[in-house]
Amino acid sequence: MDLDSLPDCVVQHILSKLSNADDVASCNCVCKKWKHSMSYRKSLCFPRGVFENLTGAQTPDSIVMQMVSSASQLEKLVVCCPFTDAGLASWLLAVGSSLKKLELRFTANKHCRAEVECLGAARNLTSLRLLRVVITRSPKWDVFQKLQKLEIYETEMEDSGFMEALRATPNLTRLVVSHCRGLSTICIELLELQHCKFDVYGINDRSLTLKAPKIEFLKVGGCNCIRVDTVNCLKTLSINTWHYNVAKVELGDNLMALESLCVKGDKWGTDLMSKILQLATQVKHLRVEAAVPFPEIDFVDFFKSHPKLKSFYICGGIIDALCNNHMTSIKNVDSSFVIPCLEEVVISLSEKHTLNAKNKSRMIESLLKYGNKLKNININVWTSPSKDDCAVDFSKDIHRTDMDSLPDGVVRHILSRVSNAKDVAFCNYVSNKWKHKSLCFPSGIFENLTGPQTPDSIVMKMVSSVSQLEELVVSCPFTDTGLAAWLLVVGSSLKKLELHFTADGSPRTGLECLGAAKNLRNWRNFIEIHGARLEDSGFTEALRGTPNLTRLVVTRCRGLFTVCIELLELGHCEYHVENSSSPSLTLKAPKIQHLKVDGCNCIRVENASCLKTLSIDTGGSNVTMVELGDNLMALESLCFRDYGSPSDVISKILQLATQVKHLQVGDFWINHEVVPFPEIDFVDFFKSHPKLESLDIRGGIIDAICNNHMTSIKNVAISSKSKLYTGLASAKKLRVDSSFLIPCLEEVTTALTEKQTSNAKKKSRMIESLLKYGNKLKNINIKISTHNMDDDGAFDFSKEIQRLKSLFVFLIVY
Amino acid sequence: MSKKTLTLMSKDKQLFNIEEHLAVQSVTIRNMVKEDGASSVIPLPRVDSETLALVIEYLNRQQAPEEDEDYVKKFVDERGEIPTLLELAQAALDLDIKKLMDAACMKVADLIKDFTLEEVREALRIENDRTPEEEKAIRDEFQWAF
Repeated sequence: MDLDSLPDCVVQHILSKLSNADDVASCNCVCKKWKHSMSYRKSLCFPRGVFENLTGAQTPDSIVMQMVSSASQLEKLVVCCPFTDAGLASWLLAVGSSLKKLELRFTANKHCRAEVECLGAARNLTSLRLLRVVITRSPKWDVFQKLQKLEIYETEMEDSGFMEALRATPNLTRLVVSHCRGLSTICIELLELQHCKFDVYGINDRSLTLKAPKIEFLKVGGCNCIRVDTVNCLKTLSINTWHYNVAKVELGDNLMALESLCVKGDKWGTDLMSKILQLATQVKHLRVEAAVPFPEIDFVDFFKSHPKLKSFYICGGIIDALCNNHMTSIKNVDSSFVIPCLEEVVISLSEKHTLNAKNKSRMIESLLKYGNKLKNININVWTSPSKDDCAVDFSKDIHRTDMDSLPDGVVRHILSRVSNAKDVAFCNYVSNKWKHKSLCFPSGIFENLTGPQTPDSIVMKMVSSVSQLEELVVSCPFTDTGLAAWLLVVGSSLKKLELHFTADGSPRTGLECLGAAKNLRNWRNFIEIHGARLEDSGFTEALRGTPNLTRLVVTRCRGLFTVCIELLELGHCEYHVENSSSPSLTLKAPKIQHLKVDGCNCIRVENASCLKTLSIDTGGSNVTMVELGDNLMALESLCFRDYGSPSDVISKILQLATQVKHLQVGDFWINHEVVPFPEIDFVDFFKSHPKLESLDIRGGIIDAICNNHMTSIKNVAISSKSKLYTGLASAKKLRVDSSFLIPCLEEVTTALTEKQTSNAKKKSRMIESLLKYGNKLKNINIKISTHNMDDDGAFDFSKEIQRLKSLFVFLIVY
Repeated sequence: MSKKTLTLMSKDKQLFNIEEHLAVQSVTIRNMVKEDGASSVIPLPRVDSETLALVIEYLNRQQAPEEDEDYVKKFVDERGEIPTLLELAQAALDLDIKKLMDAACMKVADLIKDFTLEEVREALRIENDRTPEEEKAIRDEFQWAF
């Protein structure tokens, strides 16, 4: 094609798609015509890192001024780079009158802050977005008659300043105040406001009064007192205040328009939530999360008074409130009672809420019986990491309920290995397998125990009625004497024993009598200890009693300091301690293949020549020493989750593990400052780890690889794959001689925090290189953690990546 | 009822058929159909046959409206060479197909972002109309961007 004849408007259109200031600036240099096109430019964005390499007399302010003043028609301006108030005022004088959208993302630090007092020149703004600025004094904003959207994030404000700002923006339809602090008593009076998010925090009490007759959407967080004067247009209401006392919520009487309601909180005044519930009779979507006791709710009345309810999410106190009275409530129900619109129910239970399983499953049964449109019930049970039998028990109960009355589609939990002792006792559920071999006592089973029977005596009775018991799981309260007694009875046949003790201030179990289960030790070749309190001497002694262990799991245990594990047969070991000061682990196990260590400061493994999987999670503490010997040739999978320990420890392990296939390494603490990592030569790294299939890097190591990457690949020719540039006959892009390849790499995962996105160009070049040299690369995963902004702070970087994704598709095609 | 078919003719006189209800995504063609019923062949003197084939492929897509954005993006991504994209952009301009125009231009913009100055000039065949002195001056002016 004759490119010279390319119509101007195509060129214009292409140039208008560039909005980042650096791209625009370099296009200005291409030819005079392109520079001229600057004056028609409608949008301009200065990304955060754009002036990183600034030298000489130019300041960010002066450059923004230069660019902005040559674009006389500018409608949208986004500034994420550092700027000053004086600079801002001068740009706005230059383009203020044409500007419609302005976004200022300030990177606040101790030394400078942006007070954005001088926005008055941009009098035609329709949308203003401010991030991390300061609005404490009354700003000199005049009046923005056309401003409809105002969004303020992470900003420090004072009441008078904020109220003054609102007075300058009388025609707002949308107001967002998110993660802001310093406000205390706020009254928002805006006649046109339809959409309002107000989420604040701080030390003092905060109250919000809203006078906005047209309000349709309201989301409030972190307020102690909430008053909304007119609510008859309100369609969506969400009040989310965890950790703060809520003393008053006044919403008027008319909530008839309300379709969606969400209330969450743990410190609400009594009855506040239930009052709102009573008012919101027309609600379709209801979500209540209350970590507070809830006044009892009459099941039938509730659904009668909320006839339009379609989706229903409950969590915490309200579940008990609905369940407790439920049986009496449905006793007198007339036959015509139905729950007409309910389609979806989500019930979210914490561990302690699973206790009253029967009551709850009855309630769910009723939901199913009367809710004739119900399509989906979702029950989330939150449990501790170790296998939890309350949950199993509960879901089992639910499951049984469903079996009789439910369409198949609703059944969710099918658990094959349940052997609830209660079921055994009532002979409700007979399966040959457990009758002879396994028995389980869930945690809530003896809740309603009366009379002379104790949990111990019941377990004893049950256990002794089963002759060849092989598996025993006890999650209910028990005593050491009880335990000793059972084990005497069934000890010889027992192969698997699981004891979950619920610590509640009563005497701890010492488990001293396990010896009774003679065969247990002989038969069982693995131990798992979860969440227990151990002491070095006791634990070491216990291990001496179990010389043939092949599998040892110690998770979330306390009280261990210096432990040496010597087990000749051990192949699998998980070791996770909590809350002890500088724990250390020495492992002498020549057959060890899988090792997982969490929360240890010193780790020594004497013979690691069989080690295939190694996973170290430092759990917040600093790892000071990891000794693995010299031979890590068998290591296939290495995972080092670090939270800020000296980086040379990691880099040493990296150098040793040359045969590794799966590598996950780095700083997983996203709120942390990035710990610098010794620089890594990109080419050398992949040459010395030729078998690498999957790679997951986080934190400082990313910078370590990126920083030197350009110099590192300079000496390696770019493979002829870069057909990308076929449009260019640029010879330097098509050098031949290429022996460097990343032969096995298939998957790369990385996560960047907001702080790390600044060097976007460098990073995207590195990823580009991965694509170029990794000829088996199938998948690149990049997670970007950002702040709570709606359209993410990683703006420029995600744009870069977006482009790379398409690049990647392109490479596959060829 | 049989669907009405239109015939488009490229610069190199090749003929392409397309159903009318699909073709009217192009505002240009829609206006022509409105005016005279477009019974005869519609000539497109600035579009060559390869590009026209692409445009026809695009117009014939059967995407649900919510997937359309993704489709257009993918469509131009797969033709990621600058000359093709420019042809496509020009054709989309002539035929007034806004989405295709936007997507093709966006793709070109994305590609030239990473090019050096010389590469941009080369890729888009743009003559450097500055004297060396002027060139230096402008480079100094925008030195921070390099």
